[in-house]
Parts: sequence; structure tokens; C-alpha cells
Amino acid sequence: MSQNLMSISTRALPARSYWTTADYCAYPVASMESEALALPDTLPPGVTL
Amino acid sequence: MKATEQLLIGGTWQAGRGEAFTKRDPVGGECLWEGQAADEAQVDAAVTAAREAFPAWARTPFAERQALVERFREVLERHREDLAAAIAHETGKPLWEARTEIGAMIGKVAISLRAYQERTGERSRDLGDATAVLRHRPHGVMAVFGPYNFPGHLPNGHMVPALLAGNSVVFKPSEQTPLTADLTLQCWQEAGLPGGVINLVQGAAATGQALSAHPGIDGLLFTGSARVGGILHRQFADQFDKILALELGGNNPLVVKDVPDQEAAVLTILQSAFLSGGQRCTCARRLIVPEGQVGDHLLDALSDAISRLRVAGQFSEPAPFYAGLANVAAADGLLKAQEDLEARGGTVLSRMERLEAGTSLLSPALIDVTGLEVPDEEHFGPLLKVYRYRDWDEALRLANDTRYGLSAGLIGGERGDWDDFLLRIRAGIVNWNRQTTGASGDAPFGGVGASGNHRPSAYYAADYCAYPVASMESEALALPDTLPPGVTL
Repeated sequence: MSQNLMSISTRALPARSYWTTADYCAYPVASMESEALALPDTLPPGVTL
Repeated sequence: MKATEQLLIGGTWQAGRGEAFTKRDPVGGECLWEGQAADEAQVDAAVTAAREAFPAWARTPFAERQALVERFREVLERHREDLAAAIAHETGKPLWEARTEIGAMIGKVAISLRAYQERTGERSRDLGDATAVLRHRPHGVMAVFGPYNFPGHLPNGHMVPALLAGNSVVFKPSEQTPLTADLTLQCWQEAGLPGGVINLVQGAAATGQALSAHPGIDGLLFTGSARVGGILHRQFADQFDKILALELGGNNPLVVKDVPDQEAAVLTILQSAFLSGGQRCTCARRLIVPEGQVGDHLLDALSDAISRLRVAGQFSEPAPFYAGLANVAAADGLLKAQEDLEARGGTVLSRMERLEAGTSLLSPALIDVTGLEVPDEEHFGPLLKVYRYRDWDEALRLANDTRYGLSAGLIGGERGDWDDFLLRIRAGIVNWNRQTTGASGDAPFGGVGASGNHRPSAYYAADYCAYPVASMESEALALPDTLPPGVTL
């Protein structure tokens, strides 16, 4: 990997490079996932099913 | 705790000199905070105070900055009930839910400390005759604009990482939630906050405009509407020296593939669309349901559950699922949105109604808009639109048919469907068989499209609170063994 170091000045974007080039090539996706759709043990307040 | 009803500038509370404003409980109607906004000169004084405080704070050893935020956590624990009551009064959310917001503020400290080390911090590599070092430096003065739906947790999610990184802050809360901000700043002071490290300017648009246009800020961290976010994005477009982090809204899809457990599916939909009365940016706004009997039965069961959902005042017993919207005007806007969707041909499956005159208490709306042209807008309240689909590709097309991309959910389906959904959906929070409103604090939080500007917060907030500095360093200045070609000394 080349060390494409970019300067930080008042006229430069706070760009990511070297260690963190990967940051601007993807966006993060956070998931809560479960194969099973199931009711919890207790229902939240105010809900009657 | 008691509100000061003032501004905090350079460690001194002072009355605002801008426009007078009042915050009332949107259900009970009582006055919660009454004072004056910061005028332009006071905004300038707040930025100047933050600028003056910045060098000493940035040079304060990290351990001391950490100690301050840990003391702040202890103070939050001591004032838990006062803060929860303030949030419930101001936002209209039930007390049980406001308590969870204080829990999130407390939890933010440990998460931010870990993120500081893992996302930023310092690392070095020995190169023999030199050392390569990566460090992170604070930007300077950060303006933090808070939203009204999580007036404690969301600004806290910017301010704790900003302070840990060594920035100073000027905080402008929503004019809908001055009380929570007032009490939060008192907590910071009780924890030993040095004067000027966080400054509080209260007020609405005029105060916000004075702060966002101030040349003395180095960055702006905003949580709020896509409309205001867009204005800020354009305003900052030619200011390369300032960092802008935008957390905006969504028109979030919740796709039903099949219904393995009808009650569980109904609960997941209720939790996705109507938690906090729909006042969460991750709330599902569009329910995408298969045509046919399975979908019909699910919608019948959902309407039935909606009719039995308890909506009442924030402090009522038994506790409601949700209570009021943050203000009566917001409730008026939601009723108007329902009227508009109906005028466009929407079929109202559950009708939203104001439950008590003069309050922001609304029952939920469920409106089928299949095949209709409806605006791609975030209706920030208990309003869920239904779209029926024929096949999976159409479901995905409908789900992605928005300029936003914050959260999305899938109910049912097999592992292969989930993998396909994950690959094709455009959103930053994507859940399977879990409510869209469930986001983990130790994950990054943000979306694509009009939901932000690619600066996710929560676990990644450390990233926009500092910039990296790469160094090659050696204590000794020495000649190398061989000179470069063409050099004679």
C-alpha cells in the first residue's frame, strides 16, 4: 500500500489516508438479527395482543 | 434540581438577551422553562469562551479528561429521576422510556472511552532509525445542535466524545427542550467542568443561525431534520476547514416476507412504528406487506392491536406504550399529514385522532397507500403507511424507493432472504426479526442518502471529533549510511 499521506491544513479536507483509506470506500451497516421471530417473555407497557 | 432558565457562557450563568420563549408540557400544559434566547453577541461570547478554554483543555492529560466524564456519569446517576422527569415532561415520552434515556447517557461514557482508544487514540511502529506514530488531535471548538426527541442522549453522544478528544463545545439544544439541556449542564458543572469547556446557548432558529455562521467554530455536529441538515450542508460546502456531521431522518421501510408468528410480527411492527409515538429517527414509516391472505390477516391483527394500544399522559398508571408528541403543533402536523394521504386516495385502516383537546396525544394511524403517489417525507409521529407487494423484487424496489437510508427491517424469511435483503437494501441500520428502533450503542449509527453526510455517530463519533496526525520521528538527527544519488556533502 502506498503511503498517500495528505496534509491537514485550513484549506484541506480532513481526509483519511494510509491506515484509514478503507473508511471512505464503504459505509457501516449495524444490524440486530435473529433467525427466529418470537415474542419476548414480557410485553412492553401499554401493549395488549 | 431546578432550572436556571439562563445561558452558560465561560462558566457563568447569565440571562439571555434574545427573544423570550417558553416551553410547556405538551400534555399537561404546565410551564417547564421560561427565559430568553442567546442573542448574536451572546453566541459570539460563547464561541470566544470555548476558544479560550480550548488550548488548556486540549493539553489536559487524557486521564483527567476521562476522570471528568466519569464524574459526570456519577452525577447523572445521582440525578436520574430528576432528569428522567424533565425529559418525560419536555418530549412527551412516558416516564419509563425517559428513564431508559438516562441509562443510555450513562452507558455512553464507557462506550466513548472504548471508541476513543479503538477508533482514534495513538499507535506507533518502530522503524529502526525512526518511529512512525499516528496520533489524533482535536479540531477545536465544536458546535453541537441537539434534537428534541432525545434531548439528553443524542447531544451527549456528541459531547462526551468531543470532550474526550480534547475539544471545547458550544451546545445549542432544541428550543423544544431547554429544560433538559439546562439540567444537563448543571450536572457537568457538578462534575467539575472547567469554565468554557461546554457553553450553553438556548434559543431557536436565530440562535442556531448565529452559531452555525460563526467563523470561530471548527465543526458542527447536528442531529435533526433533513431540511435543516441540507441548509447546513450547503452553508458548509466551501468551508473546508470545518467538519460537519449530520444525523438526519429517514422514511424507513419494514418489509414483511412472511409471518411465522403473527403476534410477534404485530409486536415488532408496533415497536418499530410507534415507540416514542413515532418520534425516533429509526421508526418504521412504511410497512411493506405481501398481497394475499397472510398479509390481510396480519393487517387485521395489527389494526386490532392498535385499537388496544394504551396512549396516555407520560406519568399515567398503568404506564402507556407512548404518550404525547413534543408539542401540540407537531400533533397538528401529523393530523394534517393523515388528511393529505387520505385526499391522495389512501385508505385509512386505523384512524389517528387527538385523544384530549389541547394536547399532543394522538392515537396511531395506519394508512394503505399502495399504488399512490405520496411524498417521500418523514412524518415524525405515529403514522405508518402500508404498501402491498406482489413479489420479492417489488418489495425491495418499494423499500429502496426513498431519498433517505437510515434504518430498514425484515420480518420473516429464511437466511437466504436476509442475506439478499442485506445486500440490496440501502440503509445504515438493518435489522432482521427485530424492531427498527433497536440500535446498539456500541455500533456506529448513521445512514446513507438524505439521512446524513457519511459521518456516522455513536461508536464512530470519535472519528469526527479528531483528525489524524501521522509522524515520522527520531530523537537523533543523523546521516544515513549511504547518501542519495547525486548528493555530495
